[in-house]
Amino acid sequence: MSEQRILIVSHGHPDHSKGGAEVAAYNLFKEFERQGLDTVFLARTDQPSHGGSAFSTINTDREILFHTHMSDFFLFQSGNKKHIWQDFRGLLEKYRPTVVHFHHYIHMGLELIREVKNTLPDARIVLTLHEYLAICANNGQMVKPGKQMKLCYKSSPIDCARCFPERSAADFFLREKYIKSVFDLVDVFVSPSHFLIDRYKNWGIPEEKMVMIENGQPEVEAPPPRILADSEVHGRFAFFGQINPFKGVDVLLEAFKILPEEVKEKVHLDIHGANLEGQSEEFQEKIHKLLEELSDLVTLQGPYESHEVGRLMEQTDWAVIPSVWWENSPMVIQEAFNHGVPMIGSDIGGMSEKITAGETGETFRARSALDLSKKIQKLVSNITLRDEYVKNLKEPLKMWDCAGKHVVEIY
Amino acid sequence: MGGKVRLFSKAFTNTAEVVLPDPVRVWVDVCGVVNERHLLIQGWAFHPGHAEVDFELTLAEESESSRKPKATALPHTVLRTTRLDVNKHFELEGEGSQWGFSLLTDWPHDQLPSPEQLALNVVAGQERCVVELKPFSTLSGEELFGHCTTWRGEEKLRLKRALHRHMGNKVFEIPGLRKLSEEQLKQKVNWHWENLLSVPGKGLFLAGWLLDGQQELSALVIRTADGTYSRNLLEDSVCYPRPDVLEAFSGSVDASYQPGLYVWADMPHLMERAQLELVFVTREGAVCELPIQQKVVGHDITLASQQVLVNFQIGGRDYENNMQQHVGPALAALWQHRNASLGELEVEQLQFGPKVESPKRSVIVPLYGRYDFLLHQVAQFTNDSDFAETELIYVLDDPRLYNEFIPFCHDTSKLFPVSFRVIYGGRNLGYAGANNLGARFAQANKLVLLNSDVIPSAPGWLSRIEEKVEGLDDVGVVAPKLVFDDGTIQHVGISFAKDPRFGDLWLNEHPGKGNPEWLLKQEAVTESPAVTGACMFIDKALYDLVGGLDETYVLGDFEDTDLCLKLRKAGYRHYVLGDEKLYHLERQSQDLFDNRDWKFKITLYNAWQHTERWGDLIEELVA
Repeated sequence: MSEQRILIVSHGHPDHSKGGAEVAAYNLFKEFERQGLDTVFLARTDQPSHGGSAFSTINTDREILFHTHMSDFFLFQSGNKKHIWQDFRGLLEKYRPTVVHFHHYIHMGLELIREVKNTLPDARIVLTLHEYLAICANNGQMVKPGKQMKLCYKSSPIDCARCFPERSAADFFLREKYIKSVFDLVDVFVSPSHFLIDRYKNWGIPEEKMVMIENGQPEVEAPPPRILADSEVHGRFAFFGQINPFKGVDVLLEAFKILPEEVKEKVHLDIHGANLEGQSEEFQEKIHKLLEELSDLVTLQGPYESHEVGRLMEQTDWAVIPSVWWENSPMVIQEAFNHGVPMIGSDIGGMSEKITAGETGETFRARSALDLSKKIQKLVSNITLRDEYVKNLKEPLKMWDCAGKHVVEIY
Repeated sequence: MGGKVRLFSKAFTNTAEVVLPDPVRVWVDVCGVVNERHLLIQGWAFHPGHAEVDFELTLAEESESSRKPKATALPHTVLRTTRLDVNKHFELEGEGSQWGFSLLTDWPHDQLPSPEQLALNVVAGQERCVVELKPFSTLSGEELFGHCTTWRGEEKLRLKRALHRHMGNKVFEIPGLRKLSEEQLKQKVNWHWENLLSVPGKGLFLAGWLLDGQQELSALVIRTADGTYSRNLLEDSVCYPRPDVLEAFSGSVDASYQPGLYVWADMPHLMERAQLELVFVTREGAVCELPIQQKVVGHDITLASQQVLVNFQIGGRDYENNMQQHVGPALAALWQHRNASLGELEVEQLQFGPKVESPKRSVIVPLYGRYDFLLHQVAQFTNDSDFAETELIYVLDDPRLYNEFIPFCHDTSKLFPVSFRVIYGGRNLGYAGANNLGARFAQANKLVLLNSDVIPSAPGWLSRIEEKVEGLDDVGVVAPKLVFDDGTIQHVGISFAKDPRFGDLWLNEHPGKGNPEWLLKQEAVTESPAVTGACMFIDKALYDLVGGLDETYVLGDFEDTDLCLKLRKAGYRHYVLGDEKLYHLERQSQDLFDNRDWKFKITLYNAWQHTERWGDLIEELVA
């Protein structure tokens, strides 16, 4: 074990972008480092580099930035193939990792996986799947393009071509063949949810190649329950994450809007969300309009640093994940549970897998503001419910344990 | 040619009982003189039994030794042409039979030849026929094609090309050529010139578009008032797509037609304010002469260089040829002209702090774009005792900075106990020129060329490196390891590689660039095909031996490897010291042109020059 050299490849560095996958990859790297393992974190960045070099470093000389990009998001083609066959190859030749663990290939190119096989045929290749990119050309969301954002249950070249009229079924056939030819080189696929494993199994990845490991959480002390004032109820709700059309913030706001007036007096919603300014104007307008209408019971708090999560969770009675897509294993669920906060989530995909309705939280009919609104009413009307749910919370997988599982079970 | 073939003529097959060999049939229409110095004999000739006949032209000259005149063969060009009248008369068949002939020869004598002086023999197999010539008379204009009413266009063009080979650009001055007005020509051909750059003593760069879908034109030349010509610009010019032109004239040419055109034409006798004319020549032999206004290039050639490069497309099959034939020569001409027109430097020298007597080495730092690096370097050199024995020379290579820079130097030298000298050449000399200027004034016999954005990681580097150099063999240039601000590798030697996108050009490569130091296996000393100019140690004698850095590269690129390769060719070796480290904040001292595209094309131009010079040696070094 001590002779392992572990290269972790991520499509971003959490110092630049705080997506769940980047944070998960980085946490794993930091935990390996803490445990004294030989490891390198390679994170893609879109920032220009010094002197045009493919690599630079950040924080320490074990955290390497890869200044590269993708030119084709359909086939995940690198936009600078020399970066792969020269620079990435050079890195592999010099570091000679025994394990190359990809937490993504997007923004860099699927060719990276091919290149590991070319250069280090004996290295173990691990790929953590964070969404359905290989299966679905609509940003890997398995949600059909268009305003309605209909949920998709299964892909096939013919069905996919219907979602993308500019492409033919043959294009999707070739896409699937191509991606699978690269995935064949992967030794183990890791997924933090069973739901995602099922989807990839249906798509054709052999079940025995896939392992479910939850994203590890740091050790924290769960805060003591908030002391309620007289006649106060557990009415503090919070949303954590990106604000984009897939995350259902609009559903959440609609639900608050239709709460009965007497409930509205007892509740408050904090939105700890980033990236609203990066969304379409139409979407931004919709959100801003709802925020305005709800200005006395909803606060837009903006983005947060990951070390601030604890403090924010302390002020939260219920965390809400109203996503309108399947999700995988949303980081916020594990974070909330880690801080002793029960969840309300959509009743689909990774959310219904992780939240047991009536035990560790509530689920509501995905996309239904009315159902969500009813669940909110239920939670604030029963003053003992929260304590009950909190008692049922199991301690989530800790970081050290997660890292250990990787080393023992996967590498 | 000349082999037996079937009979071509019904007339002859009908008289097949004639036993004697068929005679050569030949006729001369005209014996003409063109531009006084060339003879053009035209007529028709064939032999019914042979596919082709040969022509022999001899000149009878008085001989001193013998009374009999001596016959010398005259070199000549024969063109065969279609003569439907001959075919018809003799009932000749056969596709493509070309029985007309035009025989062209040079006549460098003042007096016209008499028909008796010349003998024309037409030969077919064993047979030969002496042809009766006519008195020579001057031909002009359309008479050149006197009996060619049935010549094909292609044949006329061939005659014109032959005339051009024989008489050069005088072909455009044959009297009597049909003239076209601009309006007349524009009925068939359209054009617009966006740029005509004139580089005196060098040549012309013409750019614009030309729509000639029917290929009406056979030549386009530029003529000066004193009678010098460019080559035919239609041959080997660069064509490229111009959707805007195709849209404006839609329907007149195929969608694949490329109207965009640029071309470099060498004209070594071009005068600075020459009156220029564009001469269009049609396939029919008509000419259209139009005055054209050039832009005379001065010493600020930035705009002109951009104009040369703007339509230059990188990649594609023709790009290297376009570089070689057009863009490269044009840029070289511009930069040579600039350097020549600037004249001698007026060098200013300023000493800050006490002068270092008999220094052990001279460190030369060119400054361009920003000068605050001087402060950072001097601050780092302060606690380094080596600088007491070092002549530190800053070459100010940016006139825009002068007014602020000199007081800045005063202040800095009052506050930091490091002496330095400033040398100012009065203008921008480029990286090579600035270093060469510094070297000219350097007093020590060891030089260190240093970029302004290089900062030491520890004091004592100069003497330590010099000490290490002592133990090396055949030393040319020695350079330390350079790292970026984040500690990753910037330089541990330079190698060469080709990039499939840019064809056969050798580009400089920095192996390991961007890698964290721990990833690279590092030797204390490694040999390298070349090293960076950002920090190079070299003996002044060697530097002078190879003439310093080459100043023909544009804007600072490839001079360092060029110097290394010059020395390598002379038998010297270059070394990188892996255990000496300086910081190099690369590219922070250079943002010359915000247009990256233009800068990039310049880099390729430099790469092309570099490859032309060193391709063979590089091939050996990387093998």
